[in-house]
Amino acid sequence: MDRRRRALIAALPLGFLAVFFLWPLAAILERSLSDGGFSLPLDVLGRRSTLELAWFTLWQAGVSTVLTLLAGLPLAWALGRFSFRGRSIAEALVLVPFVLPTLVVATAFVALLPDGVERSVWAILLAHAFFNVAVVVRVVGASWATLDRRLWDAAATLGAGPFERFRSITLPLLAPALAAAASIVFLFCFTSFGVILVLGGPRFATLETEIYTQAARLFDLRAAAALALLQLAVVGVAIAVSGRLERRLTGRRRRGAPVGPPSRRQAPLVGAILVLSAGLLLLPPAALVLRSVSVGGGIGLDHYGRLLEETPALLVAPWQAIANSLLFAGASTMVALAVGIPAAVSVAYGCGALDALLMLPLGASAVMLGFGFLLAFDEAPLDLRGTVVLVPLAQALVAVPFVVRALVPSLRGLDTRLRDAAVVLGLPPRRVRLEVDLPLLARPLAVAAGLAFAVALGEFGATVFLARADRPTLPVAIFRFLGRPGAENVGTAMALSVVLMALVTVSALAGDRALARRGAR
Amino acid sequence: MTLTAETIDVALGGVPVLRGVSLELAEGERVALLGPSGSGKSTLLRALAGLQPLDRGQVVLDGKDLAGLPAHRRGIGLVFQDGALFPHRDVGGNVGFGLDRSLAASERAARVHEALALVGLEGTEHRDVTTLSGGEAQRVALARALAPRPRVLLLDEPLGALDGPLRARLQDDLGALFGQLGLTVLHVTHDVAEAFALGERVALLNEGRIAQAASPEELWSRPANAWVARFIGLANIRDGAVVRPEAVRVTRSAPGNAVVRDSRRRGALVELRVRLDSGEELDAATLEPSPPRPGERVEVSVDPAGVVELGGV
Repeated sequence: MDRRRRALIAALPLGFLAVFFLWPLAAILERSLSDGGFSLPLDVLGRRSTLELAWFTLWQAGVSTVLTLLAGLPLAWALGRFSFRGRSIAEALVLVPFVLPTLVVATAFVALLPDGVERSVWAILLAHAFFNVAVVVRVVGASWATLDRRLWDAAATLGAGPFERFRSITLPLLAPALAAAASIVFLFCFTSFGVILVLGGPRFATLETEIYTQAARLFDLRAAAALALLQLAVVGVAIAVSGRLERRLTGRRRRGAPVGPPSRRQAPLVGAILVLSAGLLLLPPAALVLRSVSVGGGIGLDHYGRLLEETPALLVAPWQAIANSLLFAGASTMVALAVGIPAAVSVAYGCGALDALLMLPLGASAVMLGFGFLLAFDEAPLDLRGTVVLVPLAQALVAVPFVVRALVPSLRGLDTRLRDAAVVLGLPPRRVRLEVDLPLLARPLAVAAGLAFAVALGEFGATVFLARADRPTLPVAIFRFLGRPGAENVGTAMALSVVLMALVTVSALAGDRALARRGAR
Repeated sequence: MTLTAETIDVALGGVPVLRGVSLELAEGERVALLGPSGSGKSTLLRALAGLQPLDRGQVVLDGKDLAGLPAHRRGIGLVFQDGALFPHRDVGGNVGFGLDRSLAASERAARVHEALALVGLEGTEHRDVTTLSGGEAQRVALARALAPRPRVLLLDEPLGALDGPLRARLQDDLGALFGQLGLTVLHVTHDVAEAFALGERVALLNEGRIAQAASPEELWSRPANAWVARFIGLANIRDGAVVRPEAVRVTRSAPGNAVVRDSRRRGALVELRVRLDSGEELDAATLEPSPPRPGERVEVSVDPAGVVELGGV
């Protein structure tokens, strides 16, 4: 492909990123650094409350990360080092919490934890560990699987006992993967929003939730922008660190012995880890479903029935939030594919920088996006205030990286000889893409669309800023119901969460099933 | 140290890999374990080292049953095929790994130096192991296994990944080194020449069973069965007896009773393959300077002194 065409293909995603990511970011910078003239927001940043906020944000992210590593390591060992029947099911199961929307996770922990603990720092830490354990299992487990098991054998014949082997062989060799997983989890927990907003209640706030409170509840845009600046600085450092770790990790990847079944002595331990982990991972969603159908002392569908009724918590009946979510997610998926497909083509043909650029909205956090949209698009030249397009645009921005990641491997794997064969057989070159490439890419495209749809359905941080009161999405509606007193409102939130969980699981699974079939081929 | 394997059974994933294997290594003896790939050689080594649990049988070291003693307390050294060096430690860190942790730093350094000197790699302590050549990596792996002064050393195809001349040189070095150290050594290989060069005794393993364990001379003169005879290169098998190739006399003669199929010179020796008019094929070896060429008619006769009954020990 010649340079002009490549530039043309990259132009659309770059333009989209410039207008809908960089501009809002610039608007936040401008708002935080100017107060009439240029001024650093030292008054906001120097406040004692800001320092406490920053400290708690760091503290909860750090502790959550340690907790997640502790919970994930045994599972990473069991799934990374051994092959056994049902291993692929176990691996898929571990991913489930990670694809669940944060609001569903938060609601599930409200359902699971006893009164008094349900809104506490413990609830936050546990929910973060539940949510992120998949990162540890995937990243560390993959690294564990590539370790040559003869290194342990060699250490054993040299006199190293099991503990010594773990300390002097396993840990140093896993260190890059552990560091990479820890930095990703730390980043997610640092920018966690829905979980902290719901489970932290009024007592616990982080930079992320405080940006929302200042901007959307107290209307102090300058304070919100100043906090966003602080947040951006920390996130920037975290991304730089994790990027370096990830490069080191891929640089050191080496061939390993194939995993075998656990030995007779290991089997009980592996089994216990799997059963215990499965129990812990299934507990919150199970509690959520159970609470959504429990009425008084018995079982009933009353909470679901109320989805059809008008309520003082929303301007519309709850079922309309479901309809809104589906419509918005559909529109977001279209935008995400329109931007993500050319972006994936560019990345597949060697423009790796675009891939990194497109990952930025994910790292910059959803609240930042929502807030930036609010600041940037409320005046000419792009006055989109109050229009419905803001929500799908913000959701698409978050979904594009998933589309790119799903498509690039398949695009790189396209056999160019098939195109040549088609042309030699008389197909005009302009029809090759349509008649050769497209059918080959049908499955990865389905995966990408399913992922984008799932991400858009669950998006909360940006949407809560941008959704109009008469057009709430599912996560926004859940949040509103949870914020109101009374068992009925909590019950409605549970019912909506179950609906959201089902929708997200179905669209993400549609993708995963297609992936599995492609892998089997 | 005498190391004895007694009627060992091991199955991997339900498939029997070792079936009633018994083998004895006398103090200071060097035994080569020879067999085709998949015969269970590596599994036997792992079982002796304590890395592979036994289904039946026992491993006895100097009269003491090792059952229940994990690999890291057996004091049996093992050198892996292509090294298995720890990638995150330098050469010195690898060689010093198995040394007693209570050793003083200076003593450790001396022991590491000594082990590296044994394999001819003095002064490489600080090299990154990923920069070593295949032969160097294998020497470091050997030094690592020798440094803790193991009671018995097991080697799993240590030269398997190396090419021709380097392999021959390391073979000589290993032979000299083991002789010098007086170690009890079990050396796994699938190469007949290597087994005969390094083993005072050679144990042949076939489909998880020891087919024969004897000195190279005894194997060559009295193979226990047709499989052993074929595996060590005695292909002439006739009515339950082996006809040694040097006992097959080939002379140019027309009409004769055979035709030459193939001829290969190996130094002073020429290996011939002839087909008798009866259809039988025989290998022959001759020292003649100008032996018959492929296609020529020859007269073949067999010296009865070179015919060995199979299993006739």
